[in-house]
Amino acid sequence: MPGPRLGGSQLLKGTTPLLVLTVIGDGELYGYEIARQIRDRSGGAFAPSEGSLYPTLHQLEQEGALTAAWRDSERGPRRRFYQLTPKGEKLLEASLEQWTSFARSVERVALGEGSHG
Amino acid sequence: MADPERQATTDDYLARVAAGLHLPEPNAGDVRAELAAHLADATAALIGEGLTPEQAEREAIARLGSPDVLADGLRRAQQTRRRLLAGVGGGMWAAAGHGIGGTLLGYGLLMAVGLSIAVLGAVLNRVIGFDWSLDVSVPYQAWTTTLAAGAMCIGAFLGARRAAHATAARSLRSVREIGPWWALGGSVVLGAWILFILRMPLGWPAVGALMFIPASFAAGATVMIERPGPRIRMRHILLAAVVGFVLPVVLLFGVSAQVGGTLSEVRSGPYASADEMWRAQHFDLIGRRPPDDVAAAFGAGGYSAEGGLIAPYVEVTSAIDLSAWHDLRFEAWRRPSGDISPDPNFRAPFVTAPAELQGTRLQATLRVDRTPGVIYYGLVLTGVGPDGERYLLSGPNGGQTAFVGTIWEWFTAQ
Repeated sequence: MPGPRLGGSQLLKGTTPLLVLTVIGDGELYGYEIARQIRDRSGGAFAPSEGSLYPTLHQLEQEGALTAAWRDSERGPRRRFYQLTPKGEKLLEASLEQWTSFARSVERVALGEGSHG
Repeated sequence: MADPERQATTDDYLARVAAGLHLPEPNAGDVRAELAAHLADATAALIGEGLTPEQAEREAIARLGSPDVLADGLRRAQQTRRRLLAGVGGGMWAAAGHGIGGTLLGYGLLMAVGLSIAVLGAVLNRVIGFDWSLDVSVPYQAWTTTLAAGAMCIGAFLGARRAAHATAARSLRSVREIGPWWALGGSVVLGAWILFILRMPLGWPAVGALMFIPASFAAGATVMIERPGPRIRMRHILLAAVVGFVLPVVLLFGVSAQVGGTLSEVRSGPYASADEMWRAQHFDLIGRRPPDDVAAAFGAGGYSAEGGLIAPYVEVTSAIDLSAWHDLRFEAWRRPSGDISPDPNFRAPFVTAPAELQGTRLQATLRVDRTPGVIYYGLVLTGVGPDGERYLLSGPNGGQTAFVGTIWEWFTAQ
């Protein structure tokens, strides 16, 4: 009988701000493009719920990590472009460090790496 | 060209999100436009992947998830504590500005209504003999308070309305969500202010009107709150000032409410004897009529008034031996309008103070504005004579007053 499993959405939970900051860190983007880039860069492994993407963007904007401005896009209607602020850059750096440390710890436990005494 | 049916589905979804946002229109419009652009992109991409336009739109909408959950997440993202504090500050500013402006406006409005009624009354009086006047059992100062309280009700209503809208706009919350908090907080603060702090001349109409102010504030912050109410501008206040202050001052200029009298005036009348007059005028309620030589010994008197604090005095001549008299005191008695004799419905003065001899002058200090229901009062000097009886030695001097205090003091003084 299969035991309890961690679903993808549970693993993704809490990492959406980090993923958002990461893709915007490479250049200003609008909502749909952010979702697409996360999906593409993860090879389709991460597909953040589009419904949670916009609240995350707005939350980061309120916290001063992002700025947003309406601008014409290459195709279609005007888009709301998001850009990283200096505060956002620091937040990204700190989040990456935190995530790397967390991932290494998980790896050590899950894969049995590191010292055994 | 967009398929109208598809457009309707997208519009419905966006409308549901917008409705759940409870954000002011500029912010709600931004969110709506951002999501509309997202849906257009997602639908176009899905059509490119081979879905029909209808399937693509449904899928794009499905990926955004429940409109209610999305709206809730977006709203929470924007409603920061900083915004709420800014909103409360802006609301207080709006409440003060529109409260004061609304009160001035209300004063002008009520004055205009009052003057119109007075003019109508005068015309009706001239044409059909209609007689109408204010309830004389309420002091005119208390009617002024009633008028001011009515104006404050209007100010409270308009101030609350503007406060709720200002807070909602700055905190990015719906005015329906904000309104009840303003109603609760504002009515508690105003209620405490009116009950315990605001001191004004009071009568029952004034007490009722003042107690209506918190209710008016609560109504302003909740009833049909979607409508922001009129914006009060300087020209409105100037107009109200002309109608509410300049016009009445011009009309009422020179009117005096002071009345007075002396025992010598009272003595003249259609009475067979001074004793008969004494009883008929109810002075026996105060004390016995003194012998003429005693009455003559208490000379000129009067009083000075500062608000409700009255300082009566009586000059005493050397013709009387005051050591034979004791418990000399000034008494304030209720009296009916237009009469200087005491009101026979009351068997005791409403306030007394011991008379102190300063040189040749007996004097005291009394407060006459702490007893509800007193409008006209008569000041007398009384004392217990060598025979152990109380005599009315000097007076009365009449004046007019009103209860001045907080509503709490009004109720506890009843």
